[in-house]
Amino acid sequence: MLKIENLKVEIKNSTILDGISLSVRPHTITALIGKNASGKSTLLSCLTGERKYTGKITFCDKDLALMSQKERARLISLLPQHLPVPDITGTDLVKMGRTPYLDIGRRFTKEDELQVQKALEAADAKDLSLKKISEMSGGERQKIFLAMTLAQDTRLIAFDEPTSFMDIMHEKEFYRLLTDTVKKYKKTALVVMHDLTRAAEIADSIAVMDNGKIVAHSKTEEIVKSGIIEKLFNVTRYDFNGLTIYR
Amino acid sequence: MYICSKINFSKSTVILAGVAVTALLNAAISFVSYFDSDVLSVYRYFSVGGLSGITPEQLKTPALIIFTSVAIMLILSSKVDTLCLGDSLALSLGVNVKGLRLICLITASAAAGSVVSFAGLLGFVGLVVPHIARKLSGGNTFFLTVNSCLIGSSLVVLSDLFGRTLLSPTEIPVGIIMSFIGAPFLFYLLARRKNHA
Repeated sequence: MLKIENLKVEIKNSTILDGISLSVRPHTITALIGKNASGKSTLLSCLTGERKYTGKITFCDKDLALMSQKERARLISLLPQHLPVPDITGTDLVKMGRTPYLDIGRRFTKEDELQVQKALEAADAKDLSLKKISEMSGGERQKIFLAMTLAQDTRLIAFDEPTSFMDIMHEKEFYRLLTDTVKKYKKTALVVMHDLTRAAEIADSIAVMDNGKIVAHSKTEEIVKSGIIEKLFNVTRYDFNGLTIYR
Repeated sequence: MYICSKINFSKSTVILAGVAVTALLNAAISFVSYFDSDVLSVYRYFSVGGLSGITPEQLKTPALIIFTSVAIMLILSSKVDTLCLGDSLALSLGVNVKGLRLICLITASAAAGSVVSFAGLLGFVGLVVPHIARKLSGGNTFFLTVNSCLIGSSLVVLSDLFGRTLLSPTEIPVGIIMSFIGAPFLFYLLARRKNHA
């Protein structure tokens, strides 16, 4: 589905991504893990066209570099780490998710309204529709932004550390929603994660990044067994009741 | 705009580029007035700002530019809303961020330039009006634009009426009245900012 080949990004003569190659299988959750400044967020910004790169990124065999911004936005959506606080209601924000389908000659239709309602329901955010974003808690804001990306109705959703400002209860709830959405609506998720235990729990496959390179990418069980996470992050693995915990 | 396109279109870049261009043009005005002192009296009237002596006939060209600019802004208002989410999200939503920002800068500059070239430097309209309009319309760019147009034009016309009648038959330029309204409003904004901090 998503295929990245020999991706390179240089910023001010410093190499941020150094020949990344990665394939993401459809309808799965791929966790992207790595130390700080290993290039995870830069990789996501290449997918949305924010960052210039050399190499090739294809989505269903179509080169992203040859697509317009709008075409790209109909295939890939992004939920960034730092969420803004616009002075609008939840519904107004979720409606923005339909932007790639609207134009000067194509205004908001019933079909768009249906997608917005569906997204609010899928993200369990119906009760937030009339609430102002500025009055929402961190967890509620994350939910409503998730609803916005779902309203965008893309096949791939990229998340950049989506739960970094959440308490453990909201984090658990967010990943439950994410796994449910991937299964129910047949979405594909590429998630930058810092919580290694959570990555081992929810991801179908894990890609490990270090110094701008993918050093390992395989099914979650294989990555866990390989011991690369312990080696790279200097942590210990505990297996407890079928759950893998990194400390 | 050229400077911004070479660096970036962030708010601080636009403001700093504006300060630099203003300094350059002020130097040009000083240079011209050094050789021809008559220019100074015209410039003084221009810098205060006023609507006297302008006929409806003269307003055709600026009206065309202003109405076109407002129409473009209204058409693009939903896209401008997405810009408020930041560049990453706007790009992810399929918005051509650089292009949209350039169009916004051109239309805003054209509309402001048309007004200034006829009414002079009407101080504080651009500061007072968008704040009031934002209070009324929240984060919705469409309503913000409509409210700004209505409140801005009403405020200038009322200030002009006040200036013409207060010391009649002497006319106080509308720019002076606007400054009397705008300066306290600026103090109010600063006080509110201090309270928020």
